[in-house]
Amino acid sequence: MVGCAARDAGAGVLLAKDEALALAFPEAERVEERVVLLTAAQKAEVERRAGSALESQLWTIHVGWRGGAVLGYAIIDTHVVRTLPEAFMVVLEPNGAVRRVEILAFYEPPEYMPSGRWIAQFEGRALDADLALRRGIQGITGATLSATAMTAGVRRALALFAVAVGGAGPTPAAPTPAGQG
Amino acid sequence: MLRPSRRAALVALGLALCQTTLAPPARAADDDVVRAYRERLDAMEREMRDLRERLRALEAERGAAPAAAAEPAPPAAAPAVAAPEAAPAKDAAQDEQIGILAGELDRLKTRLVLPEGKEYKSLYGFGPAASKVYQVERGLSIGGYGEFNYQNFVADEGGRSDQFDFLRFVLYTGYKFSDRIVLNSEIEFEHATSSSTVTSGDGSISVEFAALDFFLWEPFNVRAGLLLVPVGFLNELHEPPFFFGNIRPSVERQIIPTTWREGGVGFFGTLAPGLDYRAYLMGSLSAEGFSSEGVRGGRQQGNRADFDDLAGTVRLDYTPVVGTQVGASFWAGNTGGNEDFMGQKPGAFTLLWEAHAQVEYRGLWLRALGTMVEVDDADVLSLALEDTIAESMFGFYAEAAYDVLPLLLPDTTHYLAPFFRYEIYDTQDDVPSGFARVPGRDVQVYAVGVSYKPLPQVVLKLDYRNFQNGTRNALPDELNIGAGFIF
Repeated sequence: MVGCAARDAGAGVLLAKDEALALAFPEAERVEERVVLLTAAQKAEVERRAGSALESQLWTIHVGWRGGAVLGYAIIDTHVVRTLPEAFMVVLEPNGAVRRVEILAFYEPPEYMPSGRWIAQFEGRALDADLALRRGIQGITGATLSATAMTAGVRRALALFAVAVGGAGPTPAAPTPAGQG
Repeated sequence: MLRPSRRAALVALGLALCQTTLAPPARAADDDVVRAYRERLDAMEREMRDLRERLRALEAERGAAPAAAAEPAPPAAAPAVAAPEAAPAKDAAQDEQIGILAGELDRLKTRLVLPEGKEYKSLYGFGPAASKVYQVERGLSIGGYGEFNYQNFVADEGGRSDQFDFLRFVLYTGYKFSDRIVLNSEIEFEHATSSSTVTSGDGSISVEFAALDFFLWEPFNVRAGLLLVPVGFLNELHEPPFFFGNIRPSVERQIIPTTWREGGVGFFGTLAPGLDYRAYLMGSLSAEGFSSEGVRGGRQQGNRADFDDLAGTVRLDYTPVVGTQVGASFWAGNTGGNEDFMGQKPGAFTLLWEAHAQVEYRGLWLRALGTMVEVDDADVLSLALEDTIAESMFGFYAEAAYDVLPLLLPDTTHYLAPFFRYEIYDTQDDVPSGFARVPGRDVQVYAVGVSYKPLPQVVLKLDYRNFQNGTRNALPDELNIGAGFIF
């Protein structure tokens, strides 16, 4: 898996944002940066589905386009693991299932970083009760905080997609002036 | 140059003076008055136009397009700007502004953590300069753990007092000097105080481990300093939420002498997906500290350790699927040092090996570990130390636990698991001929209990341990209640 090759034991930043999006959408002609401003009601719905609190109402969903077709969606999020932050990306299929999860930056000591094989557990998953530690996702002894943070983060990304984009997929919109080519 | 208002005021004053002092206005005076009024009117109109523009701009920022349309048409010159045509243009402009603001905020959110582009990756490393630029001291990592418990001794014939012990409080500090060089360390406070008290001996404060890690390549990295011997489950991973029961399994205290650490240097890494190893060259144990209770007393702990003897240790762990781990390790070295044991200087080569397996599947937890210790020249040691040092010792334990809380409360994030553990060990399994086996060193332990974790970092523990000791008065049972935490 490309992610493993990029992983350098001890490194803080594994993938910069542009590298991450290239990894998410290797065949994309353009990546739309769709700004999502959640209303209070939407935020509450995302939190309810995810099972954890949302820190922000402002999100960017990256949409990979090729011609008129959506290749997928990518959501980049950061959170604190123990005392130091982690940035990760959840890439979703057009129907909202998880395609892959990548750690983009990890600042805790490397022994707490989940392995590529552990992260691969999220592939193909949808947002259901089984997407939780000690159910569909096995934990990591000695790195429980990393596992907990990542599982919660993936759930939030899936919930955000469900509320902000919905199952119907996007309406082909003209790229905003701030859109990234 | 006077301000229009001042000029107007002066004009008005002048007019007033004219009215009171002059004769009924001559024609020229009339013209002056009219001109003055007109100038005043023009100035006021200009001000009003200016203010209206500013109001419109402010409302556009606030997004109050309807308010602009509702504004009353101005009475004088400035034609009403085509309000209906302006609305879509305003929406598009607002969208653009929001998009820009959102982009900026988004970048702010991730800016401290994730560079936008590949060319900035090196700036996000861990040099102090980069950290200061982003005003985040990312190099320093602080954490810790601790555990305390109350022990009630049941059916005790020895008169041992029940006790409370703040068993350990550990502060972890780590520092990432760069992407490739990291310091990890732990300082441990045992039994709350280093002094002795009226009822107890000394506690201790120790550097439990402190090592520089040099990350070179995934399969090959270097570590040096005071290292934890990589044997067993608990020697390296002993935070309270990660083992069951208030007291560590006896096998991992009596046979594997946790917490066991020595100065050394070695390699570690991942050889293949799921295959991790550690291989160290370290200071050895000192046979002078051996006893019929095992090798635990021979630990030097990095305190001006005798390095006449060195030991080598290798550990291999394999994770075939997430949640399952099997592995083994060994440790070997001379322990005689250069010491005199009643006229002899035995090598006292000692070998410890262990094998372990762990399975975590959904709420289920299974663990098993077996270990053996073999000591050469045990007869020489026994004679000199006036104690029976065994030639071989062994230990085995198996435990099972299950998180029952999701069965009762399906959406819970708490953890409640009853557990059961069986242990058997003997530090006098095989003694040198001519020496009497010290009784009571063969023990079986039955432990049952429950761990409750409201959060992954906090655990409340309740357990009961029963000790079966073949050849001596029964050891007292224990009822242990305590808690542990990591942060």
